[in-house]
Amino acid sequence: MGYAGQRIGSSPGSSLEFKDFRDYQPGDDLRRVDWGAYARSDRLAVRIYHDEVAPHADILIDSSLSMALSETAKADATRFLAAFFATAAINGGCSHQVWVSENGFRELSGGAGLPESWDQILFEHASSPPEAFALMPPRWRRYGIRIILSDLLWLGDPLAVLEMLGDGAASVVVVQVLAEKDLHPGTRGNVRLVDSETGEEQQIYMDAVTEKQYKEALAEHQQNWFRASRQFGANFVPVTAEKLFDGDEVNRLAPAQVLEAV
Amino acid sequence: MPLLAYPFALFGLLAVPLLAAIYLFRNRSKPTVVSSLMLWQIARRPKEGGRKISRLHTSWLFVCELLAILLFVAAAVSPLISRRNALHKSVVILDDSFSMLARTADGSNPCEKAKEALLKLAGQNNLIFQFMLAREEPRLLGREVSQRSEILRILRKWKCQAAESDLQGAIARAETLAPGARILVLTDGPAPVIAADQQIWWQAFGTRIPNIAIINAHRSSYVDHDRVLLEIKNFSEKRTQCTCQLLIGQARGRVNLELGPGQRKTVIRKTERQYASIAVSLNRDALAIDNYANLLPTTTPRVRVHNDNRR
Repeated sequence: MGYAGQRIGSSPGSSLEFKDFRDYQPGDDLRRVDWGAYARSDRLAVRIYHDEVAPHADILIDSSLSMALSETAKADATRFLAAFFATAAINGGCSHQVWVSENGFRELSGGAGLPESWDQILFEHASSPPEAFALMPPRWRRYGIRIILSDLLWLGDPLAVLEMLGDGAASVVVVQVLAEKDLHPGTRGNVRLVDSETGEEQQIYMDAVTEKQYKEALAEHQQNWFRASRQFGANFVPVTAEKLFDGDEVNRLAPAQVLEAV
Repeated sequence: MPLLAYPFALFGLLAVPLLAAIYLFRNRSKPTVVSSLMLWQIARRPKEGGRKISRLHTSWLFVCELLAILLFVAAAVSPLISRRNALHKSVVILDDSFSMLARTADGSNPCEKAKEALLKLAGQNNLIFQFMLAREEPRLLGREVSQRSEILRILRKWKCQAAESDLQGAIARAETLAPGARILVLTDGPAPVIAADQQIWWQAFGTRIPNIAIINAHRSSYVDHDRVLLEIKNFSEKRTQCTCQLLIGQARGRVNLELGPGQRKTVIRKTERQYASIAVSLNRDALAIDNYANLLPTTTPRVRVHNDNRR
């Protein structure tokens, strides 16, 4: 995938690597017709060759304040995942670029190199990725792989974000990074909830019923993203920040075909 | 008069702020930073109920405990609180003059009517009475009462045997005795001018009935005879004739009088000294007690003297 380059892509192209036969269709280049096969089978078939690609991965990091929620490992997990995908891209012969959402998306300094050469990723911005898209979308390469790392906790239609992400992309991977605290609030009694980004407060009485309602709302939210991703052809992978470092959570990326996409 | 039998029990009210503090600390909101409030909006929905019902339960529990503390303190302080505060004190001035016994055409008298009205009034639960007899000098009757039996016991002392009643004096004394209390005057005469700031309820049960009375009867002794002096007054508003009968020993005498409204006439009779008693009577009218007089001879007190010549 990506521009013509040194790697064999999975899509048909113009390299010398044979991929497959297919039936001739009007308009096909007659030079690609396999006449030998026609002589044997009396059917017109054309040869298809692999494309030559120079793959590229764009890694988008949601650097809003909610990604550095106190007493959680969300920030570390996001940094870890960005480095993980960047390293996977390097190992796979892909170029890559890390983008950080601030007031618009900006390239992370050193983000095209090894993770150790990256500038520090700070999670201190109040704007969400859709707002950053609206202010200044990333200047990413066409036909590349796009990976977004975010907790996805904002209101809005997931498809709108996926369309922006997928515009001219070969594939899209959405990784939702949530903390244990996001998944299981656990607190009981009168609670004053403070929004980590806006500072807005809300008084609630937390009991089993309220927690159940919250979990149902979260599950519905994730389900919306899952459905939208499937509809768009993107991969949606939720991960738990605290479990990421014990190895099991990383393995979840494999069945989701995230690594294959990279 | 103390309002609280055990005022020290009021220290129990200290439990109220203590309870409030316990609830305040227990229900104090813990600040919790969350990634987004987006998913918590659902907790505001009234139909879900969990949060609102729980808070309501807490609130009711607090109210019940608060109420329990207040009731315990109220009970410990003394029931006097409720009794003294709830009852309205009234000073009842009873006209103790003879005129309260004047019979009307239906056979009743103002005293009986007043008693009946008072007992009806006493049926109301929130009244407490202090009785005062209005005689020549006002006189308190017992302590404050509110029960019907106690009121009946006190009313038995109301016999209407005074020659006159100083109602104004009794009112003045009642106002001094119980400032702010309502004053109920039970009498048979019309009300005087009552100041606006006076809480006086004047109840007059009398009717205008003709009455001729012996207002003065006197028997004076001389060396060889006695003299009877009678003063008779017409208290009605029209000219009236009456007969004054004198029973001197076995002899009966009769004097016919014609008296104008409010007119007073004097009758003087000279008798012998031998008669022990002289009875005077007027025609029967509404008030019987002022129609009769028995005049006894004046007695000269004996004085013990020392006679030195006897020795």
